[in-house]
Amino acid sequence: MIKFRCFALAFILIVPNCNSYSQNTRLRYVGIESGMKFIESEISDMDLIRGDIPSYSMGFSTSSLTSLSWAWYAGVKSEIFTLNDRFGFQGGIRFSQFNSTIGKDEYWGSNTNYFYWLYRQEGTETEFLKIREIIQKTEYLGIPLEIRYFIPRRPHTLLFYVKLGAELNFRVNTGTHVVFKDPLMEIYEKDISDQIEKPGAVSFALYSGAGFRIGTDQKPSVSIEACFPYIILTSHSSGLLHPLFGGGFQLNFQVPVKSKAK
Amino acid sequence: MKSNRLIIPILLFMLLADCSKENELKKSVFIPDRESPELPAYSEWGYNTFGAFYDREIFVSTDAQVPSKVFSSDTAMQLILEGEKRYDDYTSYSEMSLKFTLEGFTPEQFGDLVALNDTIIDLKDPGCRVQVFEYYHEIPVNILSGRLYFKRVQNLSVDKQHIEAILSGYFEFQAIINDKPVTVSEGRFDVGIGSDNFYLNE
Repeated sequence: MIKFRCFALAFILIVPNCNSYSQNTRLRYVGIESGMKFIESEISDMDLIRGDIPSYSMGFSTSSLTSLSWAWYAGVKSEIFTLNDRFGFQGGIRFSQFNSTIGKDEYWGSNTNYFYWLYRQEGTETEFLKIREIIQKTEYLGIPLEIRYFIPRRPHTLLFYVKLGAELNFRVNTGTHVVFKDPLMEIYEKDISDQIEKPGAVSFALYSGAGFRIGTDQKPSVSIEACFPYIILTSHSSGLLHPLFGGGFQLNFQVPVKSKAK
Repeated sequence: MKSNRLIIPILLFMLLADCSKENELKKSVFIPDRESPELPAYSEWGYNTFGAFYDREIFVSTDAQVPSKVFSSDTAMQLILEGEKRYDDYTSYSEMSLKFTLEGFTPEQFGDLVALNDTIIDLKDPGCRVQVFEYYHEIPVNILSGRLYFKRVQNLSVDKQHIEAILSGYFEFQAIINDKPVTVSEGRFDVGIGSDNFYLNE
């Protein structure tokens, strides 16, 4: 009887492990990703804007400047899993476009849909320009590095995971578009653009997230995840808007490229 | 026919809305001073505000009144600052205005005010006169000492159109007002003078 119990215990302990051993392989994937981020920001430099106009991020305001900062990105990434399938390490290359906007809109008839920008001040001559909106777009080429921790072990069609990530971005290009109240003032767009601070050449961000992966084991899969918080650590050199924190979502499509048995 | 009836009110509404938008520079923008938040911070943007301590009371511009007017005649120019004198706790206030008369300076248009740029005027000078009004009644003033400093006067253009002159500066004086010694201190002003508040008596 004792022998039978020992055998049963050994069976219970060993058989599942044998089963998992048979399925454990070091998985590698390549894929494409895309996503969006929305970032809470404040206006970097109010020195050239007339009035005590508070700014609200992504807000609805009748008397204040509204600022909005968001980004979209797309890239290619590869992922390699640890032998226990719990952790996936991702790295790749990512193209991002950050869009920063400040503007004033009229939601009621008695308000103005422009603000005054100090264009020139020389001696006793001062010039304002009426501006409705300033849009600054900055493109980056970056390196994302991410770690995913899968809560259930494969194989499952639906795998939940949490993630930590970092991205190092290098600025490729910055463009500024100014919407004037009077279209005849468009000839001063470049001058205004030159007055506005440009983002730094390098930016670095940390983020976390959680999501799920859908797909048959070792077949193409899709991952959908929410990212929060997204924190830019180099916000001091951020251009038109000073980012505070943000969040967003990301989509991944992956295909397995290589499997090695243990 | 019905559509024609609608056109006129719509056009009238659009015209009125547009006029109100052109008045944006005439509004007062009160940005509190960091050390004395009862007073506006010194600025040079044409925020249409002024303020000073009147002994321990506060003489300051309001939204209800046009804070500044310039009256020019063939002999002198008058700068009028109109607001209210109130206690710190806002429990009581009285309408008050301060008038500086500069003899011999006769601008013909508001753009001529830039001649005052970086000019200090000794209020004890015989060519200068200070008047104080409370509830539109003049109170006798005998200036003991003081100055009016036009630190910066700018001609302001908006979208390449000359709109107004911005007068920014400081004032302070000691005087016998209504037979009492009074100190007006830490006075500062940042006002826009345009076609609507520049008066010329030709």
